[in-house]
Amino acid sequence: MSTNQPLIELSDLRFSWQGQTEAVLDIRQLHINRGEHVFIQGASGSGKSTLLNIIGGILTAQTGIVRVLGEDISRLSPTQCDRLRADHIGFIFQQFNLIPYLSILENVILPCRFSKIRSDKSVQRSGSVEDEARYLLSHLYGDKGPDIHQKVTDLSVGQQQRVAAARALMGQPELVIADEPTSSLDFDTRQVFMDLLFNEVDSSDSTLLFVSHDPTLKELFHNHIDMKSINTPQETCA
Amino acid sequence: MNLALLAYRSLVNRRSTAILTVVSIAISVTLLLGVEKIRINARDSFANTISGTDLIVGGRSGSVQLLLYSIFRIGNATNNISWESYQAITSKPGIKWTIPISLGDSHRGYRVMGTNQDYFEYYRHGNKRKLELAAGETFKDYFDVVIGAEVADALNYQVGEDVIVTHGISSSSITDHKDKPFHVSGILKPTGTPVDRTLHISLEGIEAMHLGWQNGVPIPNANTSVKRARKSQLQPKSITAFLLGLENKITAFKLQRFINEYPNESLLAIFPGVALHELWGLMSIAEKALLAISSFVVVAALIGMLAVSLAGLNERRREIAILRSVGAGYRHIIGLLVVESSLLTMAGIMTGLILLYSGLILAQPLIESSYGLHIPVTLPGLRELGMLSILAAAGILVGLIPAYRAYRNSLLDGMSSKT
Repeated sequence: MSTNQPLIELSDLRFSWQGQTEAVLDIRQLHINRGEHVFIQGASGSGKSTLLNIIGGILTAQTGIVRVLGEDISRLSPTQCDRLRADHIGFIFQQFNLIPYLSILENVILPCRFSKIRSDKSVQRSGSVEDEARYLLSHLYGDKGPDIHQKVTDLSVGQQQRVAAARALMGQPELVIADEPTSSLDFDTRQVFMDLLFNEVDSSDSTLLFVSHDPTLKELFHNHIDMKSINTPQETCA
Repeated sequence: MNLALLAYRSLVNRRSTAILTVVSIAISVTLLLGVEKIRINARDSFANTISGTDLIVGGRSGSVQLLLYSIFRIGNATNNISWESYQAITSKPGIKWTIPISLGDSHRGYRVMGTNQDYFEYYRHGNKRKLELAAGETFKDYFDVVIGAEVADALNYQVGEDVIVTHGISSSSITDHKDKPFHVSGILKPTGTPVDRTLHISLEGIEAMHLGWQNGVPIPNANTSVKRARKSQLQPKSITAFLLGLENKITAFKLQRFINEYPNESLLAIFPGVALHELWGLMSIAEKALLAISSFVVVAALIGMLAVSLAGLNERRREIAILRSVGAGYRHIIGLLVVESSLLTMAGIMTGLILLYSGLILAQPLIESSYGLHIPVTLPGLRELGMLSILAAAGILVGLIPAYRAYRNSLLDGMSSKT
């Protein structure tokens, strides 16, 4: 894959849930370049989450081309999609991001258990997977971080989101997808979280796809996508 | 962190239902293997009731019936063997020994058996084990009785004690041989066979006891005292059955045909092993029923595990969605749930084995002392291992059902299930 190619490239994408004729997503064209911070705005039900699932290779579009890192993922097998997601994409969700029965450290290093590439990159940068996790956590927490062997269920929501961010950034994935990661945070925590996220995404050379319905965050991004303008589903009568 | 460790941590997180599932599988394993062990031991001890005997001879009846009354002291003989026929057969060449058996009387519900010294010399049970005395000696006098271990234990008899024998085999019979009491001369060691429940007296003792009796009732004023009985001619007119050992086993078939075609009397000779096998065959339905019941318990335990697993899936949708998002493929999700049910099944099998063996070790001396049944603590046999393998395989297969459901769920939820 050459670097001048867009990271994500959608064309003539149509997606509808099984058994329904009405399309949830109908996107003519969408390009996201490497290293960009993209803000995707849209009300709930506008198809944001569906779009992220398609880019993540969990859902498959009925028609159209979905290129992620140069690969047309609609032509990949489910296993190849899982592989692509594991190796190149980090996710952060609104809340309940963490596996409750694992410690902070175990949660953060989880992506490296499923991806050799991200494990190798972590070792390359920090010497070991655990050290990479410590490095990311210390950056996201500052000095007064919790014990990394602590249970994640004891953490506040704000702290949980930082652990989730550290996990998404493990092994420097090319793409970080954040699905309303700040909506359960208060204003102050949100500011801190956004700053840390931008810093780490930049230092990992990752592309950030940030989905939110909160317009106040919009100014922090150079590139904006409004779901309303790109997604134009029409009733199709067969 | 591999999949097994992840599955383990997830189970520990849900330990209360996990432990209950393991316990229910463990109990079913204990039951299944326990029933199997008891079945095998019952069959072995059954087969060990008599050994070293080549033929059992009695009046013409069914082979199982002959085995039952001559060896197991169950039921009654329909025909006796005349003393003449017994003598005639015994004098045939190639016969090493015979043990006469004369039945028909009892003592407080325990059968009284008339025999001779050859019984103590040649009777074998278990792995060719001879009868051994725990106390006293074999009968020397007409009115001596050697009692089995269970009789001694249940009635608390010591050597030298007096025993009144009852005519007939019902404990409520009123026709006691009161005039001729017997003395306990010896007590046998436990054998785990019907010998333990038998009182042994000499053939002459049987005759002496019945002097002055006719057609099963005492003749009034016959006045046949012990003293007079000792002076009488006590040659038995008939016996109930006899056991027979040969010099050379090859001649057994020939002798059996000779006895079965004996011209003067309708007789029946049977091979103990064949008859035992036939008798055990009659009980195989009970055996199969036991096995079926314990198998159903195992199936119930597996269904329980499946129910718990399926019920838990909804609460775990989030957990699975997170795993998908960090790179777990559908194969990992299926693997996770299959490993989980395998871990539960294995833990259940292990716990079940621990339960079974600790129970066996604890109960073994108790069972041996009260039933004379020695249950050896041995490693599971091939059949048991086969059962456990089937159970393990079933446990893994059961895991595929929630695994498939979890995979379907994860397709519907995507990665951003908000539940």
